[in-house]
Amino acid sequence: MCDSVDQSEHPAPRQARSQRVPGMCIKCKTAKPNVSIRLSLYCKPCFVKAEIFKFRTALNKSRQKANQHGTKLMAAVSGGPTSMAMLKLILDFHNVGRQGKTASTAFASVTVGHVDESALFPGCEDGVQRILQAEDVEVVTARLEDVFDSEEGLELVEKTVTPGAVRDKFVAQIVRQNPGVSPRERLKQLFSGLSTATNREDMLDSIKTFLIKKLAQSCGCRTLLLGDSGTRMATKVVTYTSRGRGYSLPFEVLAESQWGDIAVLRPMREWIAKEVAFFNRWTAQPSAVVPTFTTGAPAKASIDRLTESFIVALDRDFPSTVATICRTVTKLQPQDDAADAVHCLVCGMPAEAGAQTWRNRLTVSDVSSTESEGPVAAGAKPEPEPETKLAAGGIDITQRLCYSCQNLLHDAKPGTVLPEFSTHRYQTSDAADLRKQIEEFLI
Amino acid sequence: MSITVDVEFSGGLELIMKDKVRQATVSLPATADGKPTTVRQVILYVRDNLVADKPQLFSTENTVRPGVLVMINDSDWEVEGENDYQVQDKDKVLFISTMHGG
Ligand SMILES: [Zn+2]
Ligand SMILES: [Zn+2]
Repeated sequence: MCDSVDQSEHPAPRQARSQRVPGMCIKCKTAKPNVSIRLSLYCKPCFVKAEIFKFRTALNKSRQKANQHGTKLMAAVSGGPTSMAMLKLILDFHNVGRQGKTASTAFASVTVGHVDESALFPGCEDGVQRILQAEDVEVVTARLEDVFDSEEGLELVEKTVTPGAVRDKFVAQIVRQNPGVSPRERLKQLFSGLSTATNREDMLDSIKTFLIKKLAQSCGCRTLLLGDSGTRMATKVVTYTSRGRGYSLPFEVLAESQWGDIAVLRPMREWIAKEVAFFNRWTAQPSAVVPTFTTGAPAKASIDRLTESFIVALDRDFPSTVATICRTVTKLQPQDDAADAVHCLVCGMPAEAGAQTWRNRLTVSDVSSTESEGPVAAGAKPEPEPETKLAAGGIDITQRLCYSCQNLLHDAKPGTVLPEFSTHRYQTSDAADLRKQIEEFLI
Repeated sequence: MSITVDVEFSGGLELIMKDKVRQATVSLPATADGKPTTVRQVILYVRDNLVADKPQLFSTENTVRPGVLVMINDSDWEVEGENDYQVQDKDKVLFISTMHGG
């Protein structure tokens, strides 16, 4: 056995519960414990103190690494338990820093960035807004449909998905949006054109990531806090890996990563969902139930749901599961060429060159064998054609899509219009011939 | 003789209960088969009487499903003996779902 690994960190069956002072809190050793976290017992006050300390330590460490001092900070808050716990903790951190002599620990300001998802999940935003309004902090909100608030759109006109072919091809064209159709309606059309819950979750993630980053930029915040718990991170790692997102995984799960000029920190990644729940309960922090495409659906409704059930069940019997996955992930490094790679038109993450080639030697693309197809999935897949002619004004965007987003669009119907950031990313591409084509279009 | 237990649901569990109740008071016999009533009986009672549909989102294998936390009188049930905790009259049992998918 590798002796560089701390023995105590090995997954141990829950029966082997260790107690430093038998039956007493591990910190004060005098109080009867109220909670068990990864086999350690804490009383209520010691637990809350330990969690606050853990947050500060993680944030200070990340901030040091990302060299973010005195910057304006945005906390991405959905209103769910982890982001609300994070908000409480960051406000506490900020206020203590401001009052103390070491004012350098404070940020220039703290703003909440929130994405209103009511276009896809009606009726949920009121509760979230109520909770956010109760907090003593400035809140800026973007709506999902904002990504369709432009005159042009990148429309998928054609795709050739031939099993065994050397490469798939995705062809798009820039179209003028019908002014009679509202951004909200366009957003709904996009999602109804994606056949599986897994694909809808992926698209939603890409849109939220874009909007939060844009909010941070427009507010001049150079530090962005994301409220992903360790449980969520572990789920993401497994989901993204199975979706073929290995190339960009480091950018999406590390404790600190750089998105352009914004430092992204994930200070909640050492918290398991249970710690969040107990912390919120014992500090009377309200939170909302944030719906998903698979809320109330069986575990196999999407890859993400399936993974979550798997991780959570494993973590119940082996309480180090989540911590072990998260620690393993910290060793991930982006590949050298990732910094120069083109950014995927859909998810904005670095796209590995040649993704479409190995896409055809494909492993896991979706769980469609078990996944129940939504009512909108009825569109038959177009017959594969041996050769594709570029439609008038059509652009081959295959090279501009990462492996995972090629899978995402695999089932999308021709006519699907991508969010405006896809157009924008396409237009800011360095390829001169592409730029020329756009200029011609704009004239 | 019977005892009453206050049960509470959060984290989205309230959405799968009949009438979306957040709280309920349930009455159980103080003993079952000559043994004191445990929190497992409370779980089974909730599953059979309060859950509107999809009981698997609340309970599997005669206990709560993984991802559902249980607090007994504001403490983690893991320090109270989990399923075998003997419920007392007026106990408060809170169920919290931590599952993203509800
Ligand atoms: Zn203590
Ligand atoms: Zn992508």
